[in-house]
Amino acid sequence: MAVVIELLNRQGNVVALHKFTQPQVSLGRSYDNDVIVADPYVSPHHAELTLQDDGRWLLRDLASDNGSFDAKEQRSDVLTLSSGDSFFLAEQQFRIVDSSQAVAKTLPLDKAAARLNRLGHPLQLICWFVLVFCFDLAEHWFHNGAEDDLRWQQKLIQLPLYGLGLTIWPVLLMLWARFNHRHGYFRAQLALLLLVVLANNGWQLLEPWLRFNLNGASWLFWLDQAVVAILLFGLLLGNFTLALQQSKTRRMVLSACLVLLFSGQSLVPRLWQDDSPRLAPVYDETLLPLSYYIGPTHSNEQAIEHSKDLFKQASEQRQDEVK
Amino acid sequence: MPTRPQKQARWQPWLLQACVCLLVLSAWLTGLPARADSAEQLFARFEPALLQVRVIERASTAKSAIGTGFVLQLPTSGERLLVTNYHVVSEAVLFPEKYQLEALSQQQQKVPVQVLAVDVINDLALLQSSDPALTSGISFQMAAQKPAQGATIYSLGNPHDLGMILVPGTYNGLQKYSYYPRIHFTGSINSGMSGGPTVNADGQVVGVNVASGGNQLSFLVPGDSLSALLQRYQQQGQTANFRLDMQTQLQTSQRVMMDKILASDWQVKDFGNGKIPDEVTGFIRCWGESNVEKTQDKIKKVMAFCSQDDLIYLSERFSTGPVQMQFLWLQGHDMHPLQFFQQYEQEASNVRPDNQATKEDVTPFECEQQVVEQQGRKSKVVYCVRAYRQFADLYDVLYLATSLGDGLEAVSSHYTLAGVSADQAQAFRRKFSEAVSWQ
Repeated sequence: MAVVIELLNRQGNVVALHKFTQPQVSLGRSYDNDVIVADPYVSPHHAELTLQDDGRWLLRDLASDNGSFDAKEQRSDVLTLSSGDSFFLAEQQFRIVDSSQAVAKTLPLDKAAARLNRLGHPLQLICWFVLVFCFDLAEHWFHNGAEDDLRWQQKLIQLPLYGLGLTIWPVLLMLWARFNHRHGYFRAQLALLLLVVLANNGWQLLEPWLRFNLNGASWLFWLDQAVVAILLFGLLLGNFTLALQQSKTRRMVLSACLVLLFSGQSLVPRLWQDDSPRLAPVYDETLLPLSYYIGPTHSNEQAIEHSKDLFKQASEQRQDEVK
Repeated sequence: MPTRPQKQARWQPWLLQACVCLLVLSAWLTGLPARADSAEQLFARFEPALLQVRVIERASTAKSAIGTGFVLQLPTSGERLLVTNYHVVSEAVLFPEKYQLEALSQQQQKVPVQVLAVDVINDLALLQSSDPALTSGISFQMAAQKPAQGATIYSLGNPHDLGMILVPGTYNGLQKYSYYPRIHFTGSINSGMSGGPTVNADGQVVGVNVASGGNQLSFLVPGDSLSALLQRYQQQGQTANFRLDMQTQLQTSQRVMMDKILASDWQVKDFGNGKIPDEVTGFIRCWGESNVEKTQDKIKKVMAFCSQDDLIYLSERFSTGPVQMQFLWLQGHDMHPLQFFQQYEQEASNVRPDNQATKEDVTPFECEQQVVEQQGRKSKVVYCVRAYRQFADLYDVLYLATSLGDGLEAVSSHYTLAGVSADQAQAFRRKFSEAVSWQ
């Protein structure tokens, strides 16, 4: 029969464990104590624990300067403690546990986390980084191709900064995990982010082409929103799988809530605008070279005939209530 | 020697007689009317026939717009009416539940007035009151003849609520390029003088003050337009439904204008590597600009604009009538077609209607975009339509055709029409798309 005295930090996490078989344990800052508490507010000989006949422990305060407190932080000179009870010496929290107390079930290693971890191989990381930079440069070429070389030099200088910026989120996640005594998975988190950025870049290339070929079909807006939301959801779910010790359902709910929060920004104005009349025309402006067009072509007469419907639609809206 | 005084004494009566004879003769020869008033006399004589027209918001009982009006006696019936601009009283005509009208006489007497008839195209309104301030005293009369080019005419009105004034200026005939007839008056007309009369030296009305175009450059609605409205009023009486009447006026006027545009044989001119319509009728005028002299620019850009800019004023924030066309030719070099099309998209996109309207006046634009083959070449055509809520079969349309190719050359053609019927809009689209071509 032994007793375990746990030192807890402010978050209630165990930072040190002491196991004793004797019936009396002294606590204090002085080195001659059984449990040495390196806390300036704790007195050299602060308190003493004594095993009672009934198996419970009695905490006696040894006239300390800052006192002893029960789990509810009520000051008390004498406390009776059972296994699992916590108490305070000044501000330092302890918990007393009987060695016979059962421990929690062993957690299985997260298979998803293990799979995600494989993404973070340094060679793969370099590969993803190169691809992300290539996309960035290609976009710059596409938009500013007609400009002078100075912009290119500026762009090249910006690349390392861009790369550094991409590491901020993985660093935060790593710190969070470390803080909670978890594995940081920095490289895996970074790889996950880079992959999602790459997927998003790919979609940003595909989307204008789709819009151009489908003549600006309105459902493309919703498809665009859905793709971006799915990518973001995947990223967050992966991030939380690696960084949080939460159940699968909780991780999914948390990710979904955050995605809703982000995409709500662009959805809400759209939903509102559709109801209220607008004065500026809304149409698809995309222009790509002809060889990128595989959609249907109409004759001039067909197009003019077809546009009769526009007049009909506009005419029908005349009497609609102005909101 | 008394010779010199004697000579003078003999000369004087003869000179006087000759001068009097000459004056009488010249007056008779030039046919000057018996009463040729000076500006001071003119003002003093007609001031009582000038009133300030005020649009009063019913809720706040404060004035929301002011202008000038003048009492005119109809030549045939002798009926006396108050004449002003439609744009002065537009809010009261369109929203009688919100605004009412009153006239303020020179004796600071407030007289309630009603609108009898309007001409939105020529910006005129006829008002009436049973108050003695309007039914008695001096009144203006229409001039029988147009003044000669360069003749001094006098504009009367109350600028910026500062009091009635007289502005002398010259009559310079009809404005050359205006679609709606307007007298070009060299003199300052300021806001608040709108609706006031411009009279000849005899105090007869030759026009109605309507707009200012800059320094000493002002425009008047010609007396003929006013006579036409007076005649219509005498035949048809007071207008019962103003919106319906305005709808008919707009439809008729716009049909006449569109028929002229559609009936004319459109001449095309070279533009980049293609052809575009030139000044298709006398009232559509074109301008152009380009950056071809800037050799360092990687994209050569040539632009041309053609328009009929005259707006028909309907209300404070709603106007219609203009026809605008725009053409853009781009030629890139030392670049990839994808880069060129990216620039092309930025240059050609973002087209807007050219007339002002609020969401209470028009429906939202209904747009469609298609790839259309015209004369063997493909272009992306955006076509947008909105309807006027208060007036049937009147639409604003917006057309944008951007040529598609694989090279570094592109032509975009764009037009907007305001206040046209569906049939006219479609006919215009057909004619326009056939007139634009490129290699």
